[in-house]
Amino acid sequence: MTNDEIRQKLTPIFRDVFDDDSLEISEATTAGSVPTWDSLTHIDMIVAVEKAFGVSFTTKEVGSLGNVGDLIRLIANRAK
Amino acid sequence: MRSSERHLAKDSILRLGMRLGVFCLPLMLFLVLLEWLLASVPNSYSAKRDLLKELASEVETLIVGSSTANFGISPSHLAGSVFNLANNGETPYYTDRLLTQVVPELPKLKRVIFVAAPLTLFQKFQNGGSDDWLKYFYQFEWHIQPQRSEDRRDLRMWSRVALFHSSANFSKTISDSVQQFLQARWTGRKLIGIPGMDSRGWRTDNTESHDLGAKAATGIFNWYRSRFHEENLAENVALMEHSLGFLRGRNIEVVLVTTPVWQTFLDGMNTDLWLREFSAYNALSRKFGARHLCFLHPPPSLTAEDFRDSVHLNSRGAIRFTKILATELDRTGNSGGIR
Amino acid sequence: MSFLSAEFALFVALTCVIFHAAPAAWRACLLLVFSYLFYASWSLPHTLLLLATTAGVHMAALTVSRCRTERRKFALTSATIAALVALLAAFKWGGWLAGMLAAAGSRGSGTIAALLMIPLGISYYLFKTIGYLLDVYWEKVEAQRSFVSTALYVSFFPQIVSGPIQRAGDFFGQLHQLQNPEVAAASAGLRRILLGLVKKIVIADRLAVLVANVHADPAAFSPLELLLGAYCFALQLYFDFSGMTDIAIGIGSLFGVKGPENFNLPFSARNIQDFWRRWHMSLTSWLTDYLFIPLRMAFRGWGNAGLSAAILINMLAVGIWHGPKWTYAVFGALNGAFMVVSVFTLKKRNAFFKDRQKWDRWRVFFGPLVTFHLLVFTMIVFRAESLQQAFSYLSNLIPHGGTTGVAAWPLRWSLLGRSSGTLAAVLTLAAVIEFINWSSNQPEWRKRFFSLPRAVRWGLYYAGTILVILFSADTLNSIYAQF
Repeated sequence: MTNDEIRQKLTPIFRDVFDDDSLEISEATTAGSVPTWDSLTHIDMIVAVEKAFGVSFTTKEVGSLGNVGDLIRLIANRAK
Repeated sequence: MRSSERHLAKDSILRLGMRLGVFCLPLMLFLVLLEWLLASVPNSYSAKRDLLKELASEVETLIVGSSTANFGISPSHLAGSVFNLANNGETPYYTDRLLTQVVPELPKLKRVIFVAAPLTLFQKFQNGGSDDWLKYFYQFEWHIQPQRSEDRRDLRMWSRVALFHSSANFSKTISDSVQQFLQARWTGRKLIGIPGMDSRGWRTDNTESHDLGAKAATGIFNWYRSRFHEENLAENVALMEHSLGFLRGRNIEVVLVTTPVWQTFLDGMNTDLWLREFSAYNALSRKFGARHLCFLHPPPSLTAEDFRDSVHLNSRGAIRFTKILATELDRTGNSGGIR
Repeated sequence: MSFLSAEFALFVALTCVIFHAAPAAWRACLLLVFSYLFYASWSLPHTLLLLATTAGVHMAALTVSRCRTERRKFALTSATIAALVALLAAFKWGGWLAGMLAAAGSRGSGTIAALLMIPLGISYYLFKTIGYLLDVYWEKVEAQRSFVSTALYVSFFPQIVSGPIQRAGDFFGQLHQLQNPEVAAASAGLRRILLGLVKKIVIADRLAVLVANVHADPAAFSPLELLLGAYCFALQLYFDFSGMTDIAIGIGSLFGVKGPENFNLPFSARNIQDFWRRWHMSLTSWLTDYLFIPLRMAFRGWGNAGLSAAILINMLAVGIWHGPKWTYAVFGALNGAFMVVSVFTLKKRNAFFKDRQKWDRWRVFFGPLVTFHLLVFTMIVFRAESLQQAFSYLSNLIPHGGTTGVAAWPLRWSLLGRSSGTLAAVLTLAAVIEFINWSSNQPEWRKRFFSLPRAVRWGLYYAGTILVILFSADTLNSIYAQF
């Protein structure tokens, strides 16, 4: 999958977890720009992403995510 | 970072430091102002000093001792011009220092009455007790140095701000002082005496009877015991010898008086210690030709209504006792009798 | 020496002068020496403990970063962390254990108790070391080669008494600033120290008397008085701790180190989760990163039950971090329970209000109000001497409808220990200080403040300083210095 396809697949997940139907995400999006994205919903999002993409992350990886771009690259690496 | 930038930055830090220093100058001034304010407001020590100064040229009899004297003897009920220089909790060391300071300033002084509270000769200021507070006032108002050398280096001996700051309610002390100061300015009166003290040094704020019971007496014993030490006896006797010798050398009559205590105190008192003290007093009076008037067992005319607690008289009792004392002083005259 | 004493002020002044006069290369070492001197002034044996712990963690971090196999890395990290946690537990609950042994009549418990006297700042510095080690394990931070750096991070004296708990990466990233501290930051630091002193000495300590009276004997007070006491405690705790944090951050700035914030207008929180992201932030964010997220990841297979467990454990940790008292544990558990409910119903609440725009406007007001009251409730338990006292307080808070208890009105100020005038003055000052707090982060207000003539600005500083001097005699040690 290309990065952009990953991003498109992530969008409905983000919209659901962060409770915002109009949310648009880009590689630069961070938790700070989404009001409902906090440490609690962060893991909800990770769990949903893991389910949707059939991958599994470590705590270390989850803790090192800075923005959506990092997540996309992480998924891309896993999917290989 | 280039050295020129570093130099500039260091310069700015220096300037910040200097600005801070300039900022602190008025604060220093403020502290000095507080110091001056606290010194202008009278306390029981400064009050006695200033009141005595006013009467210095006429005082014939001086009363010294601790709280039993402070509350228990009313100068205006004795013959002649009398002043009560006793201070609560005073020990023989401080009495000695006070006398050597004050007596040369009293040209007409003929007689000094030493009032001995029970166990006085065994007592010395403790450290960490309520006595600690008193030694600062002796230093501030009378310039009497504390007995322990390490106390001399205590900042609170030199600064009233430091002293009051170390107690609780510093803010209240300051606001009370400001109030008193402004009131005095407003009414034009001089700030000398304190309420509850008459012009001859007698503490009058003492009219109601308090607890004469055995339990309260125990509280008093515990306080005495906290300042008590066997070794102090020799030291205090030496101090008394110094005081008496000093006075007799100036041909001033000395009278040792023991004020009355209530039955509950007598019941709980260690008679052994008291007898040792009593014999010490007797020895002193023999040596220096002083009279020793012991009223420890209260004269029959004094009742429970005359006592504030088992060891102190109240105002009513003080007046009645002083009259009894006056009669006794006249009666025994110069016969050097011991009662 | 206590943070709030004249000797400490002198200490800071002296160390500042020496620090800025010294050549840049010496400054880290000097700060380390100062920090150890400060620590030694509290207790020499505990200073050795601090040194030993730091050395141990420093070596462990270096070894972990050089480990070749994942298994060895994991083993060393978990062993070291287990040791650090055991150390913390021993000191925090050892005293309690010794007390229990003494009560049970066991001999020798006196010596145990003496040995286990809680060392200054152990909760804070052990958290720093555990966080540092985990960051190295997760490769977020490079292991420090210089022992001076590590030791300075762990013992940095402005932060050791009551935090804030700075992250290793944040601190090490600032070390180069010691060479050239920003003047603007230093002068802001001075202002911040003054603000902190006013908060703690003038505001928090005035409220302390009232709170202490009410908690000493709750049955003697009316429900309204107890409510007032509860509000005052929430305020006291906030001003006490945020004041100490301000002082700590301010002093750090004098040396070129900016510490993390601990508070962000906590009482404006919309819900309980939001509150804990605004209160004691350095602790809660630490727990989030090093406890909550790992737990949550471990429990992610268990859905909602897993989330609830992670939240409860996390909040319980917040509670018992404060000490081995049931009241702290219950405080944590209550907050955990409230948070679980809030988290699970948040989406539904949001949906509810989205459809009712009119009510949504009121939510801005009621959200913080409800949250505040929930917190006040849990803080009653936090402050109580024991669970029985807490229960007594809470049950007396409910009006008895005239059958028993004290009359509801008026408020008996002499019994409460503060006059209504004093309380009104303190609360007004508190509001002013909070405004200053908030506006110091708003560029508009900052501009307005600095455009005021220097005489006016200095006048305000003098007002604050004189208030601090006048009230500094009646000051009590910070609540948070005992943790």
